[in-house]
Amino acid sequence: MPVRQVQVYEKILKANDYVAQQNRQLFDRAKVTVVGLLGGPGSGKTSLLERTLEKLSGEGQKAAVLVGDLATARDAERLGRFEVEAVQLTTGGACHLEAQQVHEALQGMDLEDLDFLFIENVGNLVCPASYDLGEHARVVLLSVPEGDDKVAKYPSIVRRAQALVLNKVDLLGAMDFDEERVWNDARALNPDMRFLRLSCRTGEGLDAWLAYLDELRTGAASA
Amino acid sequence: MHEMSIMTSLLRAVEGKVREVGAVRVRRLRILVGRISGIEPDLLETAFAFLSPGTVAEGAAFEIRIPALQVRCNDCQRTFELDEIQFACPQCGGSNVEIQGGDELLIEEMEVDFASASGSGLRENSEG
Repeated sequence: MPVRQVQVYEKILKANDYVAQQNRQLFDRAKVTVVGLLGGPGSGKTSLLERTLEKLSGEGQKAAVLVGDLATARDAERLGRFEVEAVQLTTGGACHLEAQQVHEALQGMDLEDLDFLFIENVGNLVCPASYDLGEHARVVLLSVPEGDDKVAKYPSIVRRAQALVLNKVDLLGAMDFDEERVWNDARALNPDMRFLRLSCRTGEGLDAWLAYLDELRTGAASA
Repeated sequence: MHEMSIMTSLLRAVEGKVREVGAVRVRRLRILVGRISGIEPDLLETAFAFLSPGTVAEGAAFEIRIPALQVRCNDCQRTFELDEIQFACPQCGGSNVEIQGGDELLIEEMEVDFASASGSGLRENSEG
């Protein structure tokens, strides 16, 4: 049999990236700003969404949420009380969301009607990193009790995000947590990354977070 | 862990490439996995052994190349090649470093078999 060497140099996840690109086109056409939220279990992804939705609805902005979860609909139930559309994507045990799942969920949504769409990924700092969903910005949420070594331990997700949010800063005094280390490691991995610090419990730093969302919104609107 | 999912995508991409070049099977497959891609090479090998039977890559030699990590120090302006991630400059010890690349996940190259001209024609005809 004739044998030949073939140089390929193709991304392994190019099929996912292709669907992500289609998602992005849908988002841009509908002028909706899409933010992916990634973080470990208990880092406060749903809490941050609760605080955010509260504020956005107060300002008359319309938002919807796609929530990835292994098996339950608890997060969607928690978020449902804000009178926003909250769609639960149960991954059936899979550890991350893929662009195709998001694409299918979008079919039943009226994107034109929205200002923001948040995609809360499965609580995991490893697997979701590889899968572009088509978001305009990916935000990694890290919380003080998780420890100051998490950026160094999970570099891929930090590298592929646009912002790093440190949550539960109200606990800084109670823990041995070197905040400088977190920012320094993150800067080494991703010099263009935006850094934010907040506490969903006390409300500290939420204004800066909302200002960041607003910046994304105006950026997306002019694009 | 998502190595099974990565492998499913990889095998699908390989099938596509094999069809594209008109080959029939893969003898050797080399992929490139960055050190900070979040992928565990051992688990990827297990996934290949488990998922490749029945595909064009069945029985292929599976190679994973892991390039060194490039780290640049913004203080002493030097670039280093490291085997593991490090957040301080190996030269001056400063923390003003930038890690460059390392998150690649690519099919690099493969060695494919083509059916001999007469043989492939016959097989295809018998299917129709």
